[in-house]
Amino acid sequence: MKHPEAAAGFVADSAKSSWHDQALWGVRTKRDAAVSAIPEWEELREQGARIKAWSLAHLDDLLVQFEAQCQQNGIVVHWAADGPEHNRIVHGILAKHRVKKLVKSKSMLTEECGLNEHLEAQGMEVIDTDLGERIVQLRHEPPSHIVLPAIHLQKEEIAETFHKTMGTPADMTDETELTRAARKDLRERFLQAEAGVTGVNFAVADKGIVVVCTNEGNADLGAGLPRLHIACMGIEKIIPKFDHLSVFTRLLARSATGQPITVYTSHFHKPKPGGEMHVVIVDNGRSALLGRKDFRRSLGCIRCGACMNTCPIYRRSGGHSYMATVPGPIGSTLAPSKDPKTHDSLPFASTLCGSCTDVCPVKIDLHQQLLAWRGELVKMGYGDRKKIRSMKLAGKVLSSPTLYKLAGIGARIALRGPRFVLPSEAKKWLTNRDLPPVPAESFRARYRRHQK
Amino acid sequence: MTEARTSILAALRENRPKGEADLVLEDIAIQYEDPFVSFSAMMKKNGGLVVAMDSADSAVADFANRCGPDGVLLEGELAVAENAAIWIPFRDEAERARPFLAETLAVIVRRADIVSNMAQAYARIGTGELPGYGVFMAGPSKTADIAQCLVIGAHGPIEFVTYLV
Repeated sequence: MKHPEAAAGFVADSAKSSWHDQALWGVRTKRDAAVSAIPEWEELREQGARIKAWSLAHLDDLLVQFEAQCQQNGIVVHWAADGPEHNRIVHGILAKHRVKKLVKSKSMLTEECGLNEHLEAQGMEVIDTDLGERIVQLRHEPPSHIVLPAIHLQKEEIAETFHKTMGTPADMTDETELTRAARKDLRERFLQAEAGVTGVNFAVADKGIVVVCTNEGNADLGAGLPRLHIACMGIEKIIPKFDHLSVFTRLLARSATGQPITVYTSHFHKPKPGGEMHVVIVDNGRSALLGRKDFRRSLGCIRCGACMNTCPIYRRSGGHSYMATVPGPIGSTLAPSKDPKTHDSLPFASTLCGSCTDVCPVKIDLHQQLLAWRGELVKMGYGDRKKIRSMKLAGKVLSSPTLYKLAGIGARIALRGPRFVLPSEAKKWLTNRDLPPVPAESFRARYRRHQK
Repeated sequence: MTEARTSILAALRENRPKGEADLVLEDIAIQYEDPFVSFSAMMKKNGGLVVAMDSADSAVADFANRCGPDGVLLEGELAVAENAAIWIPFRDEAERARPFLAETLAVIVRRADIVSNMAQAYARIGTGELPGYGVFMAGPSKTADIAQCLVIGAHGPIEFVTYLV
């Protein structure tokens, strides 16, 4: 399925779609306020971009340094070439400790690798503990946003899910009461868990530290309560120095939710006494992406979600329409590098307005990458054939004054008539909207008349 | 050494961009004339309570009155004006999870230990020995995962008190 078809259902419910649009625009507005409180914001972005560029140019050395530092601190480091290997490694560690129940805090990487399904198939109980992730887990849905996993749901839908799965009263729709119910339910699970799996926001090479940022405190409970902590990271999470954390902690939360920093910024440096800590470093296509000059900068992404919150397509079509682990503009450039055939419609799910690029805290040239992907995909033989034909046709028409004039006359006549006679491709533009009244004459004709 | 490690590092060496200039970063972070004022305003915004005290002893006494046996009182090593984050190193490692299980968490920080920004904070932390586990905390736990409505008190503490002494 392609993005437009996948979005159709979400767009059809126009009340919900516009609620979603407004909710995300609200987050974007909060981001703007937080950013404007820091006069050096643009320089800070530049520093973030430079650290990431430098890190990508030295990834191999940094990872080796990180590994050595971790080992010195008593952390066990594993390497996984792809998702299945990552899942096998995590399962192996858990099985060795006879773990039956584990808690997880947010990790897009484990989502990408399908870790939950893998562990569940082997009889383990996996509980997602970030509230948004827990909601979508209870509904057997994937997250629709990397920071706000349940943003596609309204509180009544969540109340219904909690009623069915946790036995809360059917009419309990108050956000605070629902949150408290989940807190109570999950507190028990934290206390029973035999292992905690977390993601990684930043991995510091010179000290061997893993940093996890959350607002709920779930990563700290999950890593702190059980004896065993497993942190899973993509190779691109590495940053060179401890001091560089200041740049990224200043950028991340302001860009993500408009907070000046996440409530908890947790630094894991050594396993707890009597406990074990493992780090699993995963490639899964990232090293290949590093070799693609036009697209490698997308590896600098710190997963703040700002590009989603600002994107006019994402806001209206919802995260599920992307059918990729990471949706929105950043997902639309990451996904085709892995599987161009499946994800060939995503770079076209953009107006190329450039707003994503403007808000990106590490200055990834997102809209330029999406444009570059369009060319690349067409060259590879993917993309919408009809679109390619119409682009070629448009090229001819726009480069010939005579054809352009004829096309204008044709369009003015066609648009005066009833809409149903229009070709089906043109009619798609008129779903949920209409064009303004057709002018009697063309701009060219009018200009000529006024010249006289 | 695993096969994956070898193949990943080889691919990175092959594919890494060349000619990236040296990384020198200038000090650009915001400075506050009165970090105490900025810290307090920011902590309130984050949903936490700020209580000024003349000594650590009086903070301990106030905490006993305020929270009862279920609260947890910690010491913060430094605080940051730009975002109200407080650095809490877990040096004795006793119970990493304990403060996160508390309904009320209180932290004592010296006024003199408030720095302006995260750059100063990390510079200071980095000069000492790093703890096995350390957390910047910036208020009570929170979530807006249900319909973007802010709820204070997710999994961690519902109440967060900062004693500035």
